Amino acid sequence: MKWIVAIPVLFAALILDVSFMSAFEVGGITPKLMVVVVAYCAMHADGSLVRWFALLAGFLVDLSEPSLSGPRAPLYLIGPWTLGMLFGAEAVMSMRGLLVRRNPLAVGAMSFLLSLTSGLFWTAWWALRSWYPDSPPPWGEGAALDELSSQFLGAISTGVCGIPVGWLLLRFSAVWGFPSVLARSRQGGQARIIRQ
Amino acid sequence: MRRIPLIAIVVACIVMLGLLPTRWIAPLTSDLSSIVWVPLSPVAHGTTIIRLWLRPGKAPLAAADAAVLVERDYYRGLWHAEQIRSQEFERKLSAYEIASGAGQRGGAIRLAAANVLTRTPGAGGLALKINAGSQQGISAGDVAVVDGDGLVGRIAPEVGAVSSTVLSIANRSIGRIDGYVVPADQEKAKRPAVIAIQILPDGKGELRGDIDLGSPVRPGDIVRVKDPSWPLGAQGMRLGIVSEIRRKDTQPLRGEVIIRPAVDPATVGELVVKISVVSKP
Repeated sequence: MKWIVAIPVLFAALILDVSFMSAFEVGGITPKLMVVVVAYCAMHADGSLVRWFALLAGFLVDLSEPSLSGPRAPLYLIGPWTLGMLFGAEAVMSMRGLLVRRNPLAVGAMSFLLSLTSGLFWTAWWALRSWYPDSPPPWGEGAALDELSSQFLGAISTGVCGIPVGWLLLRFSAVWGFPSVLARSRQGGQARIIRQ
Repeated sequence: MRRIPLIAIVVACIVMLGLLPTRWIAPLTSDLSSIVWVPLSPVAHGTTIIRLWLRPGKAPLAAADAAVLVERDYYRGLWHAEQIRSQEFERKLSAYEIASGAGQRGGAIRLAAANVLTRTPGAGGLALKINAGSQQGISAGDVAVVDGDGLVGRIAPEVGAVSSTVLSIANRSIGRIDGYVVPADQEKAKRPAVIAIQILPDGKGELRGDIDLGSPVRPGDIVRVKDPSWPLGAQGMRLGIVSEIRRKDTQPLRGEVIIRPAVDPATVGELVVKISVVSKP
């Protein structure tokens, strides 16, 4: 995977997430492009690169989404999305062998999976932190289960958004410099780029 | 000895960072976020404009009509603010309490226009990041308005040099707000019969307050700020519109007023921050 391509795409997705994607908001649920980009990379890139990429993506999301329910609002907490994205990327990598990677539907499905798993981690992390006296969770006094249901709806929304975005990303997959599946299997799981 | 992978060390550091107490990490991460967003803000502003163009909040008005409405709302806000001040002075006069510093109470207000860069994703959209900060004189607690008197929210603590965050009035951390209800038919009256009310954001995008069921408050009435703990620039600004009045099961003679905020943060692209200028002796 070429970082010179991945980093600008990641930042573009971040900017669109925080300033543009709410144009597609339905009932307070907004799809996340960052999740689609991470899912797409997790389907194609080398495991170690995917982990770093997921950590970076989650770190940027954590620095962009403050929690507003505490007394010192806004609080940018580093961890919930950073580790959630890593957790989600691992889930996608464990399933990528079963996928038809050139299919946009697969990108949509993996975006759903990554969004759901990272959302689950995010909710669990904040639920854990809510034991602190000065750190109420972002969902306020509501139940964590309600937040999980909205995360589930968000995952569906991201999955649906992942289909057209995945199609677009697949059209330009050559510029990302992903290793081929054949090379990965020859190397015993360690990927290598086969130049054609 | 087996070498520990770098990623494991990074993950361990993030876990520790994520578990630190809020008062330790809040200033650090707030500054870090501002640094990350400095180069991204201009692009985000551009995409916000495109979003608002694609999905505007309300039907666009003709330019002339819009200008007249903005002017009307601005002067209406000033009028309500002055009305509160004059009532306050009258009360003081009647009680023979003409304080020597009464003239200094008002202070001055300076306006600073700002563009919305981002808003917190998710339900509610309860915070807006704007491209104005302490360099423009903005400080924590200043109020942000649109359309002259439509109150958007207050500036959150941790104001950056060139950016700051506006907490919407529907945010729970805003706390209780004292205000008054102006019946819709008395909005233009010289001396409207106003009803005092204390309201609290419910965290779901609405404001709620208790009221006597016998009071003349009706859906459609306008609620405005009259809270001494808020800056002068906020007094008389429009908080919202009464959307519903429900009877409280526990107190049958009391009602719960549900107020829809005057401004939907999702549709705000530009706003004005009313900066309180503290006069030095």
